[in-house]
Amino acid sequence: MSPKERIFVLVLIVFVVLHLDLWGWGRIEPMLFGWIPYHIWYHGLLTLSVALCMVWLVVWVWPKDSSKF
Amino acid sequence: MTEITADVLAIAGIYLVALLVIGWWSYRKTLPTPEDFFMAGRAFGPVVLIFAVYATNMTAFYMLGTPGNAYRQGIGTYGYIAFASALVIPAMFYLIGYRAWRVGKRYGYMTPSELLGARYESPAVALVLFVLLVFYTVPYIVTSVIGAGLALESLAKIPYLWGAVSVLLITMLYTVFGGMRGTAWTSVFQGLVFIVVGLLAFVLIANALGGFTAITQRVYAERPELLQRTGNFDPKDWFSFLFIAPLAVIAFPHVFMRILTGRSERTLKALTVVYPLLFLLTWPPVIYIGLWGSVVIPGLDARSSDAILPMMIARFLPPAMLGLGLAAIWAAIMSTLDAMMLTLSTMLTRDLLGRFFPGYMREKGREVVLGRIFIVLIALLALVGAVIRPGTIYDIAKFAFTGYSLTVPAMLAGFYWKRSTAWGILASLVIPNLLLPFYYFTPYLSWSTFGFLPVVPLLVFSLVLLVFVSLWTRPPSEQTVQRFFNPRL
Repeated sequence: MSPKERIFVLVLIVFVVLHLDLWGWGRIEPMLFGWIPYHIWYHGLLTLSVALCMVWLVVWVWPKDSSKF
Repeated sequence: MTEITADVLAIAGIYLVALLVIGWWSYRKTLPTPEDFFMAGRAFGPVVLIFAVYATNMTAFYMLGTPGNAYRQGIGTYGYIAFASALVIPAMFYLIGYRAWRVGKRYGYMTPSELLGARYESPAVALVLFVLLVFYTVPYIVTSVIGAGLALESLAKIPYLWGAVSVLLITMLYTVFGGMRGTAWTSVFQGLVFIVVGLLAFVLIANALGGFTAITQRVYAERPELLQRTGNFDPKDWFSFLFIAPLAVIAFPHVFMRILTGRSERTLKALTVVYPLLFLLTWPPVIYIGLWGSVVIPGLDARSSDAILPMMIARFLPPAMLGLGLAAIWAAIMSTLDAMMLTLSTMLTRDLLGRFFPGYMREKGREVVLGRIFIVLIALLALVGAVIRPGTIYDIAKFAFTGYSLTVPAMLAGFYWKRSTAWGILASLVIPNLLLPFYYFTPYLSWSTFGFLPVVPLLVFSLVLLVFVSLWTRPPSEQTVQRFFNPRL
């Protein structure tokens, strides 16, 4: 595994910790627009962050030299 | 037959005919060679690959099991399943899928068994992996067919078996004729159908219930516990689930094979970036419909609640939408069913017959003919399973997904650890899979979970076995290892 890939795996672990969000386990409020409770908007933002992380993956981590990993 | 039933069947009928047309078109484009029938010449661009993989990934579990879970356990279903998938699946597309794609393109591998068997110079590894993947794919096929029957029953009040048989028959036909090209292009169509209809149902049902705020506030007033996770989810279970469905996806042979059909690295990159966004777009709508159902159609038991999405469509949407709703549910189901049937057929043809009867299979055209025959046989087996109906969609899927996840250490070792050996892989595959039924059907090993789902201790055990046994046994030749670590394209 390349050093860049190791960094990528560490970033994934950070996302796992954020996903566990024990601090918000029982939260409902604040409810955005009256119908989006905490869990949905928090994890929705996390999902967008994951997509950005994948952009970073293909731009920075993905091997430039296609003959090697 | 009521007017509503006739409308539903008419729209669903148009949808099924469209699939047959795509299947026929694909048949005309497909050469009768294994590379073209089973792999469509590995020529899919970004749009087809994204839809082929995503639609294959989405099934009865998405359209029925998930809203059913939201009905019972609430809004946390999004994080539990959708976010976990949006994080882990694209990561695995890169960490395992990209490497598999490279060696597949370079050396012509089609199935996980072929690939891993070659990596370890071991027919035993190929055979064990083949047996496990077939064993876990069959119940997964059954969940799809059950879902198809439930959908027709809920939306058109037609007996369950009619839906199961119709879906199986049409899927079998376009898969037999169109092969991988047929299943991928129908996935593009099916993906568009279930995404558009899902979003439409979300908006229209909310509108029928007084608006997003009104109905969600009603849930807040009557069932507030469903808008958060305490009492509905356990943190250890939450963490564990990352290693079931999300991790298992790369090990699904039908997803694995689709990744190998990508035309270029650019195609794989597009898949990796877009995938999380698809979850954000398509999962909240079906979860909310299940959540709203908890106050609008209360009191359903676990098995019945799997049908909450079609029930809500039937109760609140105009007749024309019922047909579209059925088409959407069938689209999500059939886009996986066709992939699994084709994949099992490929594996039976190449991993079983090709390995044990190579001379017989070398005859021109034979592989494709037998592949088509296997698709028919698999359809018949699926029908038997749908008649028996052994459990809820969710329970069946969880067992199968755990089994798939247990093959991931072997895949990771294959691409990241040169020192891993065939005996290490065999130990990591066989022993945990023998223990799996004890975890799910007996209480004898529950002490070892420490509150986590069985997949966690089993994965740890699998990794320990893989490392320990590998260090005591001989690795494959340096030449073979280099083929897999530096496959020049």
